[in-house]
Amino acid sequence: MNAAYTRYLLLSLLVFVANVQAAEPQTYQQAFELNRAMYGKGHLFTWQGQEFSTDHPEELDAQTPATRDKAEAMLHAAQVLNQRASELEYAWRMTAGLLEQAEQALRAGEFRQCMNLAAQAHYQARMSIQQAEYNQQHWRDAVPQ
Amino acid sequence: MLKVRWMTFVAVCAALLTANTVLARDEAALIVLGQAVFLEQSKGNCIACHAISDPQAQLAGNQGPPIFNMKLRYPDKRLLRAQVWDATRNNPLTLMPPFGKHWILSEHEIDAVVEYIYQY
Amino acid sequence: MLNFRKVKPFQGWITVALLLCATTSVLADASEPLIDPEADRQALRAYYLKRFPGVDIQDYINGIYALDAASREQWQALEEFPPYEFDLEAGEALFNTPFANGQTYAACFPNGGVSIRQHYPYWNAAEGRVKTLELEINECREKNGEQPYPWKKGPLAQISAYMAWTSRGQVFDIKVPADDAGALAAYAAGKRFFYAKRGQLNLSCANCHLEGSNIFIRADLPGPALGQTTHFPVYRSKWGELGTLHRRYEGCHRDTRSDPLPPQSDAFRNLEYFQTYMSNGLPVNGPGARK
Ligand code: HEC
Ligand code: HEC
Repeated sequence: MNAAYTRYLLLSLLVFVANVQAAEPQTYQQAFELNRAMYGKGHLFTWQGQEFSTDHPEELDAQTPATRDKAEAMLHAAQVLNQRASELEYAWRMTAGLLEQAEQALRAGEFRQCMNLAAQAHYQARMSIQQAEYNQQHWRDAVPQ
Repeated sequence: MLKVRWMTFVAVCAALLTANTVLARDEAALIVLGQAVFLEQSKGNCIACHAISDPQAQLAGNQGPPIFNMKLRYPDKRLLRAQVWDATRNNPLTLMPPFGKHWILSEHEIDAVVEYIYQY
Repeated sequence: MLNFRKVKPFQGWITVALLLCATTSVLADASEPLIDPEADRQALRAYYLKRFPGVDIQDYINGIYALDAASREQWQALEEFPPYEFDLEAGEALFNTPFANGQTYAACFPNGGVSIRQHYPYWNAAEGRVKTLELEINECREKNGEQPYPWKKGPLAQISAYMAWTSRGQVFDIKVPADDAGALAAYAAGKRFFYAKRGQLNLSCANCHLEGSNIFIRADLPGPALGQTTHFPVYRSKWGELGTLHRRYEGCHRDTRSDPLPPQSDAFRNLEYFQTYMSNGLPVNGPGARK
């Protein structure tokens, strides 16, 4: 057994004493993510006295009535955002494929399908930009001193 | 009168039983999916980093701790779900990918893999 | 609803103001620590000395085989009949064949192209960018009226392999001129590329090749970051052929589920600059053989 493995075994023994607890969220973003993480989508939670859903904004958008205009608008927004991720050299591998599928769905007149795919692509592009910005700030934490 | 009551009782029992088997069947299906998520490279590929004492899980990696004692580690199953959804919340530098936050797995697949590892 | 990024019309002015401040050095960016490549190199060596105390620093040119005894034996057997031998011969022949205009590769490089691998990549101040050996081989071709070769394998990798071979045993000596802001910025960009998480899987190179070195990912053992570039180009059994460093970069970058960047992109050349600087003091041992 190598050292890392033994370390984890020891760690696992230690944590018998302290099992996992969640830290209190400090911001809306943290509250949203913790609730989404614990309950998945379609769950309601309260933050500072107000009720919110754990659905991503993109998912809510994809639930509005399916029309050609709406599908086109969502697809376009996702393409623009992923273009920005590419410019940051942070685009993800699967996002372009999702956009392509969404385009095909649009051409086939499957607007709901197009909206769902565009929502996922938009979410991924948004997260990849967030990842780029976060890492721009925090990458030094990983450098050995 | 008595007969009617008796029949209602039987009907209710039958309904409960089917509901239970439907539930059990759903849960079994969820666990089957969860195992696939754990093992398959195109899904969760958890086995790349975690050993688990499922005989189907061969040649596991050890970047992460072996998956065992989940019920003790996570009396609240929701917190286990949160670890799978976004491991960076506890440790921003972790190797473990944020499966939910980065939409690597669907929410249903996350429910499934959590159900599967909660047995170990 | 979907408009997450608001346009900030005054951003341009802020940048101008910041630049003015910076040039008059009124306001230095306090969050940007000094770029000190030599301190980074020492820190990386110290990390590995502490992590694998029995392993000689010089042995890191052998990648994962420096750390994993089990695969080292197979590799040593492999090296007895080096799988890159044919490529070396082909590379030598290509290198020595004059172009249609009668010129040669030798004329494009210092010292006739022999025994110079240890100086690549380098910061070219006039061009304001990092130059790799492969980049200059293709530039030499174009200058002499020939088509450039593809970047990842084939004749370019073979010529590069031959040039590394003539430099075997020379010690890497990459320079990052402390008085050249461009060179420092390129080095820093390469370093950031290595340590920043990326891709849908949110993995950095460091995740696997620093913390993760010599720990199994499924059946794979990621090698150490130190000395990672000294033996390129490499004959990889999985490829069944010779490939360049940027071919490998592309593969590992894709494995993070990033949209992969092209070989010889700015990002990859800067990364090579950083990684090769980390290998300063280690000998050239290319071409290499890996699983
Ligand atoms: C690339 C490696 C990697 C992959 C793939 C991975 N993990 Fe992890 N995982 C880790 C590491 C490393 C940790 C240790 C915690 C940390 O780093 O913060 C961890 C921690 C965990 C924990 C916490 C264990 C405990 O005892 O508290 C659970 C549960 C877990 N992972 C489940 C999963 C599941 C389920 C999957 C697949 C969907 C998965 N992991 C995929 C690396 C990985
Ligand atoms: C998921 C883990 C993982 C990530 C992330 C990763 N690599 Fe790798 N890499 C590997 C494995 C496994 C190998 C094969 C074993 C070896 O030789 O290190 C490898 C091999 C390499 C090699 C060849 C080493 C040799 O000795 O020939 C280079 C160079 C390399 N990686 C660079 C990078 C760079 C640069 C990044 C970041 C863009 C990166 N890797 C990200 C797992 C990873």
